[in-house]
Amino acid sequence: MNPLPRLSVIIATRAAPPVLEQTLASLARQTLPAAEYEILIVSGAAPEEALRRVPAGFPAALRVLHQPGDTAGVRRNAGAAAARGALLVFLDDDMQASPGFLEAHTLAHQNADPRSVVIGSLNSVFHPRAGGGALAWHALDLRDWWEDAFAEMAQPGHRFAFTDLFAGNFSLPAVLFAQAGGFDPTYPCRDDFELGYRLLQAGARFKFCPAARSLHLDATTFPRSLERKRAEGQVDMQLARRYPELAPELPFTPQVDGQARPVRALREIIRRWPGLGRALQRLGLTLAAIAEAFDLRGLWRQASAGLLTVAYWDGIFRETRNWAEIRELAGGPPTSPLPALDLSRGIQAAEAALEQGCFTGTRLTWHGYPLGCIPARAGAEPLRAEHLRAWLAGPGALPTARAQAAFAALGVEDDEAFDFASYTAPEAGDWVDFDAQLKNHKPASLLMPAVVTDLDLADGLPALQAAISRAQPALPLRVLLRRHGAPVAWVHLTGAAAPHRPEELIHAILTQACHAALLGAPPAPLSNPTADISVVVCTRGRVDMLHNCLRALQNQSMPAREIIVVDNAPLDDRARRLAGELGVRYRTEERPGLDFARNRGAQAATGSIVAYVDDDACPAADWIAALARAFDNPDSMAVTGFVAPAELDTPAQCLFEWEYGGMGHGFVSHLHRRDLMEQAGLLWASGFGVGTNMAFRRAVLLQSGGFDPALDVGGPAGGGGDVEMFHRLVAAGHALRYEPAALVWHTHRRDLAALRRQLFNNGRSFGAYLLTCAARRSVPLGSIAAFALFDWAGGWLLRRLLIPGKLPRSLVLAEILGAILSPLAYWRAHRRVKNMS
Amino acid sequence: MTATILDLDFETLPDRTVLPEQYHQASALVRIGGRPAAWVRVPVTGGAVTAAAVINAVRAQAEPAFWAALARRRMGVAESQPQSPAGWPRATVAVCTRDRPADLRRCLESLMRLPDDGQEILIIDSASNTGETRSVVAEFATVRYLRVERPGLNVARNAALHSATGDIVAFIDDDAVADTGWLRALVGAFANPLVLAATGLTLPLELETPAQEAFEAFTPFNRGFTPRTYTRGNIHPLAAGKAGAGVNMAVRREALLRVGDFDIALDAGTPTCSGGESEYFARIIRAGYRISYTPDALNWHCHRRTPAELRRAVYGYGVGIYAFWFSRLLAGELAVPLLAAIWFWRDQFPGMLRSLLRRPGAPPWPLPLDALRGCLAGPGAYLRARRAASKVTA
Repeated sequence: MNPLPRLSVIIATRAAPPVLEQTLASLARQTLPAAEYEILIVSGAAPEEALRRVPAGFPAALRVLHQPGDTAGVRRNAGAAAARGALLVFLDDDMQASPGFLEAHTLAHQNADPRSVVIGSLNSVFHPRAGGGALAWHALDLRDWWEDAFAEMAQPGHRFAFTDLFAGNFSLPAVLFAQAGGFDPTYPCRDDFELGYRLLQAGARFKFCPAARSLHLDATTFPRSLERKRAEGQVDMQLARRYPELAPELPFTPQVDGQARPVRALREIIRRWPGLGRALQRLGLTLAAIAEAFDLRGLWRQASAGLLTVAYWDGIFRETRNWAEIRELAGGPPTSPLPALDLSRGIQAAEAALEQGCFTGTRLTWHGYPLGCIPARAGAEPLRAEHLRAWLAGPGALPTARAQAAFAALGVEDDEAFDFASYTAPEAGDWVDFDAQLKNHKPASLLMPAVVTDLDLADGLPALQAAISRAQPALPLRVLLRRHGAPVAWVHLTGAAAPHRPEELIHAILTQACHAALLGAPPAPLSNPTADISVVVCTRGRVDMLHNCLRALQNQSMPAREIIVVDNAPLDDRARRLAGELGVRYRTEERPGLDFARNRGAQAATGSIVAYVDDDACPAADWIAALARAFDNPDSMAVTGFVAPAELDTPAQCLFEWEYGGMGHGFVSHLHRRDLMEQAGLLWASGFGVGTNMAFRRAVLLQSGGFDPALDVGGPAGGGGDVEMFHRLVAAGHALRYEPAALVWHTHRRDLAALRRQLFNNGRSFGAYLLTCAARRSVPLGSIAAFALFDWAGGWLLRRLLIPGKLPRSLVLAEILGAILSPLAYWRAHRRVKNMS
Repeated sequence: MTATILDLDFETLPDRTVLPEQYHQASALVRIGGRPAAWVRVPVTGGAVTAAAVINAVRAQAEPAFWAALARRRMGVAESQPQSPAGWPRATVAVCTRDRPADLRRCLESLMRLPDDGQEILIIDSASNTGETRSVVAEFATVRYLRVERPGLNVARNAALHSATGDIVAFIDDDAVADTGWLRALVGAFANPLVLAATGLTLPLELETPAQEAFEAFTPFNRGFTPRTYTRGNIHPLAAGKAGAGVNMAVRREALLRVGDFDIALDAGTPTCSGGESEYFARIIRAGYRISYTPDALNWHCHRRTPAELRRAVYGYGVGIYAFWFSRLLAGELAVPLLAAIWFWRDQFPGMLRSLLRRPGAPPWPLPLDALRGCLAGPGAYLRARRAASKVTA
């Protein structure tokens, strides 16, 4: 008797087809010495048929067994029973082994867990036509399916399941095979899945071995695939009855309800009238063939996928026509809640916990905050460290990194800070990018009046508590999220019946604040901490608002050099008295008009930088510090900042802020400089900033000739002086920096009539501004005309008239009316200025 | 509007990068852990690019792939990346060149800096008029030189495929420069045996002239920072040029058996000017194989510097696309006219209007017209090139 071989290669074949010859030839060319393995061909056909396929001079021991029977399982079991090797390798008769195939299988079992099951890799071979001819689409789809299935297994951290065992190329110790009881010979297909499930239940460890490569000479045609689908449907139903826990993992479960309408209809017809259904299926086959002939890939994909699904259900209905039973099976047995695993104590600790315990699935948290979950899968191996790593590299990367950054920024160190256990997120796991939402589809809740507050992440938990304490039960909360003073994102909480909770705010920050949590560092120290900034507040008869503004200016983290109130055409002396009480400088400008007042302020100022804030606005405490920082760069000649709504109490204010675009210009600092932009960008100077939050180097402002008094808020043009000034400076080659860290809160118009008036003024003033640009020739006339026509009238005004979104058309019309009247306004404004001077 | 090129790592951003005076802005490649992750425009302030400016630019311009890569990096979770080239197929780097000795020297110098995985470097001298090419190659001891007497880029590519000793032939243009990780990333893309071709990310080596800026803006080689695999399922063969360009591609030599040679009636050196690799990609996709795009395979291309060269290149692309499509039409693909009509209606016609009206972001006139003129000349050029090709073979 020969010494025992180490490996027994079992090839089960029904009819010993010609392709078997190539399989055997590949086994004759192995790097493993021939004495180490034996070949067992278990043939359903006569042994002589199989023997004819054996190449002459086959090096290894080879036996042919005759085993009639319907299923491959019978033959595979017979082969295993006759095998003498300690290791069984199963190979299909249409698979060519690579030269290192058996060696790779052997090596994969060496020094490995004795319960290892090694799944070899597979590449589908098809018959390429020389010169690159077309390929049958079904063969292509099938090949892609195989490729994807094996590529999936090759991914690091793949979690193996019973569906990964592929009988065509795998190996396992003979003892393990016997323990598991071998294949169940009653199944015509899916017998490998069923064996895989029993193996995993017995604690087997699946491994994928890319080096054990085989080439699959697939000759499956579309009709054969349909036949196979039918068999799969039938067997899946049997498997679901035998192992109810597996039902959720089988393909029919998601298909019970989630199918396209024609597929569902065809499925129902097959269930009730199988004959008619088959006829319709044949029609579908014709449709698919037509699609392929005419190169209609999309139609083909739908038709073939539909046909395969219907064939699968045909198989299910052969087993049972009872919908109630199918539905009940699809529901699966009741499941228990998943255990939680907190990652905040480090990845190593979490991995150690996984390696110890038998986690079938887990909810992953960060200080209790839910990051996501790795679901429990019936028929899958228990969770291991590499699965967690794969989750962290894939779907878990962003949520975990955000949570890590946000909790670190807030300085949260203990798990007791929040009570996430009793908190259910409104849309758990649904990551809403609010910035993107504002651009695309805006939720209706945005236009609800809301409470506005801000929260600096750097101030930690107390700031969070303070922000949440300002919330009111039924009202939405809009939180301007800041980091080291700079606004980084809006966070929205929808109104709820109960009071808002801190957990809700944390969830909202993590889901909505985009990448704010990932980036951001404390601002660099200033090279010159004493700012030479004069602040000018132009006012006219709004003393209450002025009072607020001045108080905020006097409570700055970095004091201004001086605060100057310019009283524009004063009607009484209340502003003068207020200025006296607060100890700020006071000037009057008798000519009515904001631009006259602004120019007066610039002349009166003594600092090298003049900053402007409107009387209806309230600067944040570090406004001047942020301006000083932006001016720290000697190139910055002008700086504008972020303008946030101080309140969103009325629909008009919400409309203006969220639908019209508000006054903020984004959370990213931007440099506006002529050499960095095109002509059209240069003319969109309203995008550089707003007059209620702007600052200039005084010398540049005076040298440029100051604000154009024709474009005056009080005058016929209705405003535009600030925009025209931005444009003029940038057109002259100066750098204007938009710095969101310089934050001002502005009270928007409270009622719709005032808002309509404002938009009318916007239309008028922007038109007058463009005419001024044309008169000054800061940009070639042709560019201004093209801009006015395409960008302003077409892209901005008319587009919103046609697609108004939630902005009422009456408001858009007000702006358009203003635009139409702007030439007249321009002419009247100039006449007025001429008369005054 | 010219820009300097920066190559930065996001985790070690220098506080200030001082630049020569003439630059107002920089185009920066931002890497994460050495791998390309974003390509952004950064303004120059005070003669320097600051770290804050780069971060701002990234926040405003980076693709989602950047954030995912950053998040993974911060979590300390490595991405699945082939580490060791042991057991990988051997590669041949092929440079097809014609009368550009100075460019070729720069290219060869960069190839000498590639990690040595036993690759062969092969120069195909495509009927150069002078002997300078040969003498440049002679300066590099390990480089093999092969002269092809018959002009034509595709002729040279075929010569490279037939005479290469490696299993993978990586092509780089003579006016491009390889990043050190270029070859390994390209070869790594061939792990799946169905992948017959791989392409990589090509960024501009310099943006010194308006013509180079226009080239980068309107005929970008930059295919983004997300790896993709193109198959018959997700790309139409006639649009296979989307997968990449010949400046940065690798072909499995076995492709010669699967889909045949490059079509010698196409591409530079013939009346058809370009389109050679698109046609090859189309055959690969149609035959059911795959093309893998990996941004890790980075090289830098020196765009043509003068407006005249730019116009010629744009014209040539037009000729090449239509020549390639016409060749497919002759091969019986009736979808070609439909595709051409869709392309004209959706892209070319609006592009010309926008260019005429000088809309922002539109290519400067007369580039779209040049492209269209090229398209119209394409079918004729193909017929002439084919006749010339058959004459030589006969």
